Amino acid sequence: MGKYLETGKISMKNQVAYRFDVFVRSILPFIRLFLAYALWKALYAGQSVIGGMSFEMMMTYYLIASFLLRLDQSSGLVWETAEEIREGRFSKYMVRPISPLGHFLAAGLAKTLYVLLLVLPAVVVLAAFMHRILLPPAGWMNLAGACLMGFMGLIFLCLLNYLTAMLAFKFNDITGWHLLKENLVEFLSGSLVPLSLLPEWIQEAMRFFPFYYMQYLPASLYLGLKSEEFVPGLIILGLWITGLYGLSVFVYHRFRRIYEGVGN
Amino acid sequence: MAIIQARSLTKIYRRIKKQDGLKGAFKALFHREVVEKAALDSFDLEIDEGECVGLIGPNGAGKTTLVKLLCGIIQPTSGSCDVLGFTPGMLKNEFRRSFAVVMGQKSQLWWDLPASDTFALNREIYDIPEEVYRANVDYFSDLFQVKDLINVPVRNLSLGERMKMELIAALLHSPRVLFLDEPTIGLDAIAQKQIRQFLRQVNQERGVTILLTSHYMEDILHLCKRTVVISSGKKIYDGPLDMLLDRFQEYRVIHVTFERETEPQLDAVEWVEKSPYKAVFRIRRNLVTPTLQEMLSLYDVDDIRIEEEDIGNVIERIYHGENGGDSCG
Repeated sequence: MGKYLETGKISMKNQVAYRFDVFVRSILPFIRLFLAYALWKALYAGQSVIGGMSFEMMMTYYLIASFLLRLDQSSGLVWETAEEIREGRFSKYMVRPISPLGHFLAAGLAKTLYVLLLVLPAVVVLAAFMHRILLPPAGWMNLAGACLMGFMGLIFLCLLNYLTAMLAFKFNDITGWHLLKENLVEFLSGSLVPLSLLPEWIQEAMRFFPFYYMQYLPASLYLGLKSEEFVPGLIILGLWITGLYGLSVFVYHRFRRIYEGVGN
Repeated sequence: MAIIQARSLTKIYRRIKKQDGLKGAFKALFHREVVEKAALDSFDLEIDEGECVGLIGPNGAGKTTLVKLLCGIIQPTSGSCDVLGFTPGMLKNEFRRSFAVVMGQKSQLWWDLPASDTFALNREIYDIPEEVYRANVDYFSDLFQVKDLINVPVRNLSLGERMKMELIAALLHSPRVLFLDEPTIGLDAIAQKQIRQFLRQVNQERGVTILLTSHYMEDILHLCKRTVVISSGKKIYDGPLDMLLDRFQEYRVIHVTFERETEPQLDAVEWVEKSPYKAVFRIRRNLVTPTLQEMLSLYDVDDIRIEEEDIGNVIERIYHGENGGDSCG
């Protein structure tokens, strides 16, 4: 376990290597917040409810869903890892007693923690000065449930991104796979548009996919909606995580056999 | 006792061949021609514990492929290998704890962080006890005289300093076997010399078995008693470097200075330099004695210096299969 904690630590240190980069990334959440507010304000002009949600609820939903989406930093690692495989630099994980998946998860979660630290000031400002935009959680249990669901969603995304990166062993260039995955995740998770705006039958089908539980359900739980879906959601997401973990391990062990580790 | 063994080790790479031009690029979307190339062909090797073996060969000879196979990075097409009792391709954790590999053009250091961070990460990865870790960092950084540099971001280090850090990172867990693939590539003469001294000490004092590939013959000359020459995936020589040179070094370069102005005339020599008081020529080894006798009898010779032929030329000749030698030792 110590090696993965150290991997997380060193990944975190790597994030703060450049001062200007840290400065810009600290400012961005505030700009993004202002832009989101302006956009939704314009959309709600002349109407108080869209898709059954008030402006405050919509803003809260949007902020939580996009916050959760942004917390996933492992999608950036997909490119890094795929590049390492293509250029033969992935060998460093193979020759050392470390699991590439463990390394990927540790590095991904460390980046998430870093983003969380950067976003936190914006959340504090929002809660303190703009409480009419960010509604408080419906209850502590709702908040805890949303956090747990959000965390499991992150693990699922990390595994999905790791699996995507592993495809580089077979396909070399994974741009197509990555784009496909990104678009699907964005749409199916409800971060593009709230799933409640989609037809009923699509919403029903979504319940069997993990994406529904990654942003949409945590945001809904936070708002005190869909509480009855918490336990089934936990089970379904848990099953997807277990399945994806098994598939990721299988794919790595299968595909590493065709790895050529190009170059000296 | 052999701790590294390769038996009929063969690795065949499959490469996609595309036709030239835009048409060829589109055609390749539907039909791809695959060609096979044997990078290593029925290769046999045995290395004993504590040996330092040099692996030399031209580009594309199969040196790096052999190192990758022995590390378990790639899988053999046929044949087998065994390192410290493990099958490398299975990548067992116990196996990975017992060796290290340094590839000249692949870094394990974190670019934006000091090398000390990579060392600390390796301490956790290899589960190195704190006192062993401290002792090793001190020992190796003293040996390389880089104590002041381990807290400097890697991006700010010179190529030579980075390679020293790579070697320290690789040796912290006290591996029994060290694979080195072009460790001195691109380094200046001083850094090369320091790395050679370091490796010699690691081999002699710590008993680390080393398999070294290098384009620089100086590396092999200074470090390895035994040399394996590989060409087109096949072993063409395996034995002491001295014997290899003795067999293939068929020319000598002779420098002669004269007491007075002289215009020497000799048969069967290849003149390299001729001036009134000095002559340099290349001659077959078996003709050295009669030629020098002739020269001493004909001219007023002030001084004679005999040089062995440049080792690079010798190796080039071996690669090209000249000398018609019965090559394998």
